[in-house]
Amino acid sequence: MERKLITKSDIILLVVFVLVVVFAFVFKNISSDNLVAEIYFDGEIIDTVNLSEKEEKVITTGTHHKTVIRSDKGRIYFLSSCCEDDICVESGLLEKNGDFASCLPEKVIIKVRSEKKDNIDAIVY
Amino acid sequence: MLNRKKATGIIIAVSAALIIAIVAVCDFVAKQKVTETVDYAMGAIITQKIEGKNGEEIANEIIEKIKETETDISWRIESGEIALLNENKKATVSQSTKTYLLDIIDVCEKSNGAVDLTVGRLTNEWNIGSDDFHIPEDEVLDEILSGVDYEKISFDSDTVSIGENQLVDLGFVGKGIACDEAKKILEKHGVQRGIISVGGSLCLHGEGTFSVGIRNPLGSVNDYMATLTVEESFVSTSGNYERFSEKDEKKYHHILSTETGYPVENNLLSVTIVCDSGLLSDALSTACYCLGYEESLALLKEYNAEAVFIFDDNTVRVTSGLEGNLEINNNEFKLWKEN
Repeated sequence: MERKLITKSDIILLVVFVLVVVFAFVFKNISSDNLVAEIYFDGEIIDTVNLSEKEEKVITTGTHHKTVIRSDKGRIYFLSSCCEDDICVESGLLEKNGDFASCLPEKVIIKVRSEKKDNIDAIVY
Repeated sequence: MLNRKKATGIIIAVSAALIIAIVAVCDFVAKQKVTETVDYAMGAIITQKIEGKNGEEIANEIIEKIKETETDISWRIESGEIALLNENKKATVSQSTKTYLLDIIDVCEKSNGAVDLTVGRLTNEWNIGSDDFHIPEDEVLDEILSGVDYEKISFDSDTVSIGENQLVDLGFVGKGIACDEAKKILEKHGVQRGIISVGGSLCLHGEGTFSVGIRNPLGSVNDYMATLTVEESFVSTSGNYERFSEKDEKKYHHILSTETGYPVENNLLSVTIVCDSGLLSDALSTACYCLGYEESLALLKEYNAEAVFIFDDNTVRVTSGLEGNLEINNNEFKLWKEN
């Protein structure tokens, strides 16, 4: 009996392989829609908060370790800080990609990002 | 038997093609990789978005360079060239600092002193935005203003000298200079596309267009009122919202007039500059804010720079080179129209 060059099982294997690759790509793109807040102290990420999962968290950091950041209901904000100007607290709620607030005296930065493409590349100020 | 050999050949060929394809895809993905970093230097937040390979290394190199530049040009860093110049009224400076000083003096000249790098004592006296803020006495202001004069700066090869009653403050160009330094590193590594923000002053590097949100002068940090589409360039904004102090319900913002010694009072909320130099974009944004719309036009032309002016009646005017590039997305603001 003559052997077939390409058998049925070869085709099944190929289809499975292609499906795995396609799923891997789709899954990667779906999971990267997550909105994540990154907390920086002195240029280093010290914590991240998943805003998409409405993670609740209170983080205390800063030069004097008195800067309090809170997250709830899919948003994050400076609750209080020991700086003089309170610009950080006045920045309000951060809840969408690209939102940004900082407490310069305490060297604390909050940045919200997702892997989704931004509408704009940068803000000039 | 022949068929078996043929089949093996096909399998090998297909496998080879697959491997090449996978390698190509990986390489493509690496090139598409975007590195984003947030750092703190020059008293400002520095964000970087670098597309392509080795993004992290390049971002680190840029931060190191910016910190090094800060040491050279900040009057606050004791061992720095400008700090030494202020202290001894004379200092030997590096070639790069000298070039920057000469470029800045050129803007001082062409703006008829609307910006002046010898404002150090004036900014120190006011201390706007800090706890030590106070409104200076008239006599004090007069004495300080007599020393605000870039023409008193002299060069003798690499040695710079300033007047006895002068202090140099490069605060109005520092972030722009940092953008210039970032650009050099992006070019050196052949980065395809990079966006560096030094405290809001932007270095936009690479092919294609960039969408730049212009901060709403009446809104909060993340609020932009218009989108400006530009190509590879440097973009900087000066506005009265950036840093200010308050006394008796009056706001004192940080852009000081070299004429009156007081914060500049005119009908502007902010000025955004687009040009091909970071230093110029930063210096011109301050200069044009001080000069006002009409008087800025000649200066902008001189440097081949474009600008967006936002006025206190919420109208927005762009220079001819940016016409059609600005889209206002906040209905509080309107594009200026001739009556």
